[in-house]
Amino acid sequence: MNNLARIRVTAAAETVIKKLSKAQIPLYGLKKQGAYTTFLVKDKTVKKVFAIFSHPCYNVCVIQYGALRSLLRRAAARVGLLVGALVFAVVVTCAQAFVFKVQVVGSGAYLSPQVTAILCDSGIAVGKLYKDVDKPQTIAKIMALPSVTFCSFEKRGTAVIVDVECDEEGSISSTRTPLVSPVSGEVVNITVICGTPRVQEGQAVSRGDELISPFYTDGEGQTVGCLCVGYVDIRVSAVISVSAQSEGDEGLSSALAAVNLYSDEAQITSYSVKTVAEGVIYTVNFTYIHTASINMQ
Amino acid sequence: MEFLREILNSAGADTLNAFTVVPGFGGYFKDVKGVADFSPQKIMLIVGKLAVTVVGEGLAIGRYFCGDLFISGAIAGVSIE
Repeated sequence: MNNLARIRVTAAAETVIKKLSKAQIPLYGLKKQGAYTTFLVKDKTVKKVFAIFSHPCYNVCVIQYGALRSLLRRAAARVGLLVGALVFAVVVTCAQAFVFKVQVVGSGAYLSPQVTAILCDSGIAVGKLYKDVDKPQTIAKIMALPSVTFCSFEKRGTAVIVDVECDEEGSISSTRTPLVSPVSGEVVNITVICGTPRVQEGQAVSRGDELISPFYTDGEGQTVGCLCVGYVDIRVSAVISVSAQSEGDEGLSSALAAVNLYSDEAQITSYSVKTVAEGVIYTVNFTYIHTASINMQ
Repeated sequence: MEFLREILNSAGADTLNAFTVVPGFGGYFKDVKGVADFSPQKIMLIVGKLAVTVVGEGLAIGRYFCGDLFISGAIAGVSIE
């Protein structure tokens, strides 16, 4: 009965029945209401009914269309509202794919700038499309921050919630100073977990040069201060002189052993022997890797 | 239904032109050619050459198509003239 339209006509019920019966139109729910006769016909026969009662002496009108047709008519009358609702639904759905907020919670909330910087490096930043990131690697980077003991993050709606828990005793030792080179040499490897690298691999550095700066640049190009976390491997060239009573294996071994005092993995590049009044002097040229780190636990 | 038809046949009823009335609900009528009179208290049907008058309260035509007619309402009586 959902596709039935209720029609009202100023005619006798007998006339309505006779005319519709003659036109082979099924009739439902015929009632007498004062001078009017109301009845139901299928929506698709409404035009026929109007044609039957087209004479001016009949005042015919549709009181209510069938449910489906009513729905379509209402929808057509509110097309702007429907389009607006559709656009709203699409916008909300699309917005879910973006990140509008990064929130760091837990006892490590004070590390928010550092965590935000790490997430930014991983591709998670405010205003950007949320994409699948290497979650274990990102968490590992955050865990490498000083005194962080636990980390997890998830996307809730348009926000990324990062839970960072810290060992409170360790948090005291963290520093916001830059990492400066304690030696002169050549950068072999640089790993920056938080902060901005100031040198690159293969670059020569001098003692006191800044290796990692305590800030990062966010997605909008603005500089944000943060904790420096990372380490730099520097190949250092050094020379050591060792005296011996006479030239021989014993003196050479003693000179080479002295090199190991600098580093277990020192590489000897060359050595020379010079005879002096008291004996001989071995001069050994070697290189070793010095690792400079900051806020690494 | 077969048993009912046998009884009606033995009673001389024409089951093809019969009608069925359910008290308090309505009635079903076959081979209705037209409606001669209509009001909530009385409906006169033209069935063949006969006039069937249905009286009751709140009468309305529930469905009418191809001679099959259903009258809803509380039918108090049916008379054939």
